[in-house]
Amino acid sequence: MLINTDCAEKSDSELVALTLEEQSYFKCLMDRYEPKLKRYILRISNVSLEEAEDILQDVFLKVYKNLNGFDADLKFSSWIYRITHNEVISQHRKAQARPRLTEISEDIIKNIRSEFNLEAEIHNTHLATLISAALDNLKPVHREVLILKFFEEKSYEEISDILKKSTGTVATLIRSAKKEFKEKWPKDNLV
Amino acid sequence: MNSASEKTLEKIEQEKITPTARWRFLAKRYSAWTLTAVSLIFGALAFSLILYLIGSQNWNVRQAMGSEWLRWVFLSLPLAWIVFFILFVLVIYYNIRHFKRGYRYPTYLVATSALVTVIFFGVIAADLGLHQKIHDLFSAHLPFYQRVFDDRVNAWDRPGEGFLAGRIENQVAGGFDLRDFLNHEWLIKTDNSTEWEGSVKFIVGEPVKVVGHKIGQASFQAVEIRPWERRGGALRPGGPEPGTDTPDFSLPGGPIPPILPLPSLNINN
Repeated sequence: MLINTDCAEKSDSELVALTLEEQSYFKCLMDRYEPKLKRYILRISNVSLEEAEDILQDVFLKVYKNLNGFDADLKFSSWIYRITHNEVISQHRKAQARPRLTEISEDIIKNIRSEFNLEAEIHNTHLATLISAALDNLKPVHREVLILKFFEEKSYEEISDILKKSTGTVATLIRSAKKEFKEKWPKDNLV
Repeated sequence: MNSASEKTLEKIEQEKITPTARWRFLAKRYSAWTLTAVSLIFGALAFSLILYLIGSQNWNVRQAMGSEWLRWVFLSLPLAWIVFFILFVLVIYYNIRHFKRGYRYPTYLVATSALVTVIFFGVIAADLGLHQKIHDLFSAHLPFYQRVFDDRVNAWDRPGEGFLAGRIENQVAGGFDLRDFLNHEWLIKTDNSTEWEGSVKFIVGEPVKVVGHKIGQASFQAVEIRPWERRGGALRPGGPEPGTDTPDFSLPGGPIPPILPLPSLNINN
């Protein structure tokens, strides 16, 4: 039986290679990405926690089946986020749409505060609610790029690999997303 | 409650799921590259044929000028080859965008690169004379080819509008007999004012274009007579000789007769 400490120091690519030899190493990869991907699914879609777990299970199965097709020139994290993004899109029609507040940590709030010049006096809890509501009102593609950029803290190149769009398009999308976010934000709370 | 990773592992073990074999991914990747290479070859050949067919069209036909010009251009463009050319460029564009890191580059850059590459190889193919070989090969072996792919045939099959083409059948008093692409026989009347383009050869079996007017059910007054193919082809010297590997316009075969004297000639150049 594999002990988690065996994988802690191994890179994603090493774990992919090991998984192809010994299936149990796949658990390490899944454990590494489960919390991040679950949050990501919940942030970019309106699914419930249970539905998010079902989607995640499908993602892991797809990743496992396609391990031999993983291109080592690409970051594994970009690849697994891309599969997750595609899975969310393909499951979107099945999912029941419901409004959902996005979980926002202190670090993310700090990021967004400085990026959008949000007033310092607003309390973090209130700010999180406002951010979440503003994000919910964005076009899905704008919402997703902002989440990848500010919540998942992905670089332009990583977002380009996840969404399979050129870096120029990603930059344009982020610009328009920020513009839409500012438009949706209550005017009194922008400096 | 089990986590998603535990449930996944359970499912993998229970259903004995294994990763898809590496050769399948490699086969997919190589198929895509092969398709790209094949599209590049055919796209380049299509472009060389477009150059050839446009180049060998007589764009300076006087009667076609004026209000008829656009219609003439439309009729004369090798539309079927243009469609094929566009399709091959699209296949290349799609493959570049969808494999490896093609999505990272802007659409206009990928599209322009695909287009320029196909055109570049098309010009090389034309320079090597491949276009004419393929054109002649298709003309000889594909019955529908000339109607569909060689728009010169359609452009020059309009006797009512002053454009007629076909092969010289035999010399008669005051002109010659011509068999058009639809196998109709015409009496072409010539006189001292009829212009003969310098490179046209009066040989039985020689395909020619005739500009003039229809004067009867099967007779046509020639104002100008041009060779079907410009000698030397549109881009490169060494065009085919009639009766060797030139297109067969459903004329009876047989040996090429000797050159006949020109009737009522007025050679300007």
